[in-house]
Amino acid sequence: MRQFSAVISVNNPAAPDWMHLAFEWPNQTEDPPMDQPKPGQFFTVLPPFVETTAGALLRRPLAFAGFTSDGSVKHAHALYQIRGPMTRALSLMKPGMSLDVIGPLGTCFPLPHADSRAVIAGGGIGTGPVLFLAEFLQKQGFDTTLALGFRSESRIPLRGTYESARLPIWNSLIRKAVIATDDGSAGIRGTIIDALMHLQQSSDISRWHLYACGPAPMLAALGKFAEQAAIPAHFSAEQWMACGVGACHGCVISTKTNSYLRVCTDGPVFDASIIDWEADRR
Amino acid sequence: MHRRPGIRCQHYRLGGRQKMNTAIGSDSTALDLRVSIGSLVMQNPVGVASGTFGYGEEYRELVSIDRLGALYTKAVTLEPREGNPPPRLVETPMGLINSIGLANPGIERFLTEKLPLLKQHRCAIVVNIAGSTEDDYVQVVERIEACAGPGQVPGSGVDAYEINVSCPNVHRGGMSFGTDPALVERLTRRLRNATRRPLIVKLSPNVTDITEIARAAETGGADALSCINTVVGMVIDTERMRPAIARGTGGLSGPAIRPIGVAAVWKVSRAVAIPVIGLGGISTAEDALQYLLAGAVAIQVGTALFQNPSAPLEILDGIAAWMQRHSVARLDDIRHMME
Repeated sequence: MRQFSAVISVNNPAAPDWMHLAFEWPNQTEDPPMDQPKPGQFFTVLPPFVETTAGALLRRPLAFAGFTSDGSVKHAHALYQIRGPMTRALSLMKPGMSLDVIGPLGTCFPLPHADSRAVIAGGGIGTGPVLFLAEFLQKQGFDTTLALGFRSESRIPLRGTYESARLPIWNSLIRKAVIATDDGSAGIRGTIIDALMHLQQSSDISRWHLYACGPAPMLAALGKFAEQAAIPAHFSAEQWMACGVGACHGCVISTKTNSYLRVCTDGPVFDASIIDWEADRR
Repeated sequence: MHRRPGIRCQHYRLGGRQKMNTAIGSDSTALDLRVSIGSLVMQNPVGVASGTFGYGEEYRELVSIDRLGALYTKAVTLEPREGNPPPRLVETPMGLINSIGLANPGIERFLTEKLPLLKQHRCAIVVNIAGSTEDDYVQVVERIEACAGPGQVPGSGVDAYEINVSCPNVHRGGMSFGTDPALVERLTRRLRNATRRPLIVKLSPNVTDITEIARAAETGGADALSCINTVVGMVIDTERMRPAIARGTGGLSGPAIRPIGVAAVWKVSRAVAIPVIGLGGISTAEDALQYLLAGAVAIQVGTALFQNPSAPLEILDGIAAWMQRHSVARLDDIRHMME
């Protein structure tokens, strides 16, 4: 983990409300060399326009969505949605500008067993990290399937005209993914669970290792699905965060044993069976 | 007077980040930034506030802890505490409301797991103490005294105590002590009898007259006061029609409360003879100087760390630059400078 000033290389709209951010990773000649981001990990940013951000105060956590090499220069990527003043300020930044970054932070997704099938479910805000995980596991030679859920076709990032020159892999991953939309405008009509039920018809579920990142209701449904199927599952959680490094205990989520874990340092990736995914919704 | 090993007489030189071991006045650019709290000498006035910096482990890779004046630990209670249910945080314009609920590993794990690491730091370590009953506070201090030795043992990992009688996020103890002058005086006196280390009582702004509580702590034997803890606040989610944080109300911190803190320090420092440590919404050197001019001898940085972990040391550099610009050689003179 380090705080550094990163030069932005890409900050483009990738779909309505979606932005693709990339920045140069600090020089690896530093001693000790900085850890490279792994799927599941995140970073926090502080856009420089704080005075115009309507009193917003805290850094914003964003999940890594890719890590690429461009000759000797490495780039970290993220997909983010414009949700409030801080992400709006971030969306106004141009390539070449410098961004205050702290990272890499948090835990990463563990590898599946060699004979497992990695079934990776994502949707909404969780799309970026699952793309990174799918790419990573595919490169390692794992049997990998990506399933994505969205409200409607227009909400799917990187499916329309936006092609990232630096990350063509995203477009191909999304083209090959099993898609579910609430309104049926693309793929299967229904939720991510319907997409998994569809997959299950042609696949031995006992070999699955389920990975997920997405909105809380999606994770709650996927938690139940994994429990009923008795398959290993690792999900990345989201929570309001202040320090991002484990000091303030502000970002906890509830476990099934009535204790709390910090999303920023105990997570964000958790063994899905220990978390009470319904707790926040009661 | 005890001084920590290796920090004999520290002065601050602008421009470089090195510290010099020279006599006062031998260099026209040397500034005396030291702060005395009872028998403790802090190398400079900038501390990191309790609850925002853990026990020093989490920020180790991001902050040069040894350059701080003091590290105020997360509160330690007698028993381990899980804290309050989530969500525990909500952001509000120029502020942050939290309801952590004193989550901490308890005194025994503090002594075995946290104290050995705290001993490694060269800045002053102030251990923040909280409890549900008077006996809780006394027992925590007695356990630490038994393990860390009586008085200020160099490198003991405990240079002073900050007594938290102002946490707004627990049902028992916390702020319910800090709003009653008689309870504050009695608790301070009992702790005074339990330790020779400096005692700093952290005051709540959620009272009618903060000077009344300040005087009670002074009468009870406090060496200093920290002013202020968070201000009770609430945000309501109008779509879900429920409070934004699970416990309903929480403690508001950040720039939104800075004027409340400055006014409290201004009032309290005129009501008591003991030193006052200012905190509440300090993000810049200018904010810190407002507190120092209002009468504080030192300051703490909390919520600003979340935005920028470098804030405390940038504030320290900014205070030194201001002193140079205004030809002030001794930090302790600032509190007498306001017209």
